[in-house]
Amino acid sequence: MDEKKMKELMIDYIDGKLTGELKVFVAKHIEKNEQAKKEFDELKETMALLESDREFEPDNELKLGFLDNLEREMDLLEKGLDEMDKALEEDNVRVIGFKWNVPSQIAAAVAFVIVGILIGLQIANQNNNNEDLRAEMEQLKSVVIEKLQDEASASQRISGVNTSYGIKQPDKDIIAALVKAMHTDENTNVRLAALDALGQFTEDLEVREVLINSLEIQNDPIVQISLINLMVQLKETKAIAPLERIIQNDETLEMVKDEAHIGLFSLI
Amino acid sequence: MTEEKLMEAVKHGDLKKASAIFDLYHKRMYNFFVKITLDRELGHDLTQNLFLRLIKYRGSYKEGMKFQSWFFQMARNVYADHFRKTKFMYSDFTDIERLGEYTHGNDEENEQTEREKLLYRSLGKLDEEDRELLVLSRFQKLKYEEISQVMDISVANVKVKVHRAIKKLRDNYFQLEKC
Repeated sequence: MDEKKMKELMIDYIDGKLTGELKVFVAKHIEKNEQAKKEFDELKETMALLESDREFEPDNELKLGFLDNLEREMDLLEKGLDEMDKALEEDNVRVIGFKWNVPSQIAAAVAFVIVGILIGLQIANQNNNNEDLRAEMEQLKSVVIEKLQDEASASQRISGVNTSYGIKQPDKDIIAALVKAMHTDENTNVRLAALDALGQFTEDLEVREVLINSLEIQNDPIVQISLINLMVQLKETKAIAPLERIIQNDETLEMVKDEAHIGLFSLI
Repeated sequence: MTEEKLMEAVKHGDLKKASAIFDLYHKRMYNFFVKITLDRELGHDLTQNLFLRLIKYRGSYKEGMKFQSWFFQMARNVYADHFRKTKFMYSDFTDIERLGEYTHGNDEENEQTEREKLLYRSLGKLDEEDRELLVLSRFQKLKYEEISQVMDISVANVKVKVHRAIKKLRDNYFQLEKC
């Protein structure tokens, strides 16, 4: 047996990892061979030296710093969710506002009645078509939302995202479901697909706002990088401040920082 | 609750559970960083940075993955990022002699023994990878299989490298002892 192999075995021997004949063989070799004995003693002493390692105590600052950071992230998460809720609430307020604006409502009702009387039967067929269209849209919506909620299968959720492409006008329930998937889905591919799907509604100011806010909330680096690229594509100057904060933030991954630098360079 | 379950909860937005992970792991990770950088202040900063990264990039935890391996991988990235940023790979180790006296210089219990000093000085003379292998295998008691996952090299290769690092440590140790 060559010397190198014997040294390997000696370390295993000291570690107590050898058994049976091999153990006896190494023990005998050490006993008989003076050079091997010296080697063995030195390795044994070195490995005993490694046992002198002591566990150091961190100071309390570590925990305090951690709790501070944790609190900050919890605030950020809450803020992100709040903003999402707020955006949705504003949508509702607009609808409710229209509903309770009495003069408008009366005017609208009268207009509807008049229009109804005037063109009554002529549009009966068209109405049926619109009903069909609306029902189809509702069905599409429920398919998208149901699939996005399928926790067991990422491919179902991606399929849900893909179904959302059938909806031409931004719909608040769909947008909310896509934003939620982009922020919280455990699968990066689902998040990316949701981001792509939201990308078709960037003309909508609220969607754009949500995407800008996501830059800092997003905790998947790959999605964060895609968001940065999207901002560059859209030439969105409102993303400059968040990008600067991303660069200054110590906790940002280097690869994300690099991308933010490039993005910032293109936007300024 | 296992550490994997805790991390899954954190991933799904229950950030408070990160506190339990901190309590379980902070001392261990602090020691990991201190022993590979041989610098207690830097070890403190890198540990802080690591837990920040755990919170921020909680989404990158793959469910079903052993938490310890994932976390050590993250720790290695924190370490690599730090040195990429500062453009040099080694601390100057000026404080190795005082590594054990960091907080309570006059406390007898904290007094660093000659043997400890010899150990850390011998470690300081190793290259970064060898030191890291010894810290993971001997101080952190990770199995070769886990080190193989953390460092993304084969188990056989881990074993060869750890043994080689022990031999290099032996050379450093006996050289220092003669001085």
